[in-house]
Amino acid sequence: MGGSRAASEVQVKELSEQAAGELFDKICRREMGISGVEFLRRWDADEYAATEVDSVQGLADVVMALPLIRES
Amino acid sequence: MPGRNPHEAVVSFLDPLRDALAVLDSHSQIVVHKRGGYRKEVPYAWLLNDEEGMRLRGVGRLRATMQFMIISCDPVTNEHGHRFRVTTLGYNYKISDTDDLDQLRFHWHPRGAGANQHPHVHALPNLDTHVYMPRVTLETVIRACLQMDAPLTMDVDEAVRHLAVTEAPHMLYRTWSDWPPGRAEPYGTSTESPHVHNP
Repeated sequence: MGGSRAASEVQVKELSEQAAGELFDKICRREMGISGVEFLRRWDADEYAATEVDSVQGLADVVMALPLIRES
Repeated sequence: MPGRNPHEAVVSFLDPLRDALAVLDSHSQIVVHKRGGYRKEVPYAWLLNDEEGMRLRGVGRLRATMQFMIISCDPVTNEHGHRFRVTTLGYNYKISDTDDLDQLRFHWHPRGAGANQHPHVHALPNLDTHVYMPRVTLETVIRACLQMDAPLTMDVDEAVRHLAVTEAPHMLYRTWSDWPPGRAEPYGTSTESPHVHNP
């Protein structure tokens, strides 16, 4: 892979729990216009349980990022 | 992408992705939260940079999120005899234009509420349409950026060769490419959701 920028320049940044929560909140606000807390309230209340992910603007983006803060 | 332990398996998984991203001439880092340490059978996610993604000068932005999990693997099936590897659980790649309007979305979200078992793409002129297609690698998405004239750290021919090399470990160790195992092939292009079976 000669001539390329060294892969080491693309770092892996391990987030703290607080930073992961803040990033998740930013993703929720950007993609769905709601806070991370509000998203989790809706998620835990099964408000999206019967919803096709792609039918709600930004839901696919937020759901994919959920493991930043949740194990399931 | 096996490793001797969960942490090493994740490093082996992320290294080719870091190397692939190095093709694009823009600030990039992979962010991840390992929640106290990598463990087997637990879902994790990595993101490219942050909620703003990677700025591609003259093109727009690339956003990438991937879910993954560490699983056991048979040491006999890899040349190093390692016991752990990473499996991908889903992905979400988006390329937007300079006004940050989405141009292409590459989706595979087979888990949880509203799951869709099949990898698909949403593309203009109708981003609501699901175009079912085989599993897409990060390298494929980077090649799409390349075709959109994204700024590169090397010439185009070298970038194509570089991406072929970084993609190789995934091609070697992946367990499926076209359709998830046990799932019927979806029926072409539809604006309707396909019939979904949750595992």
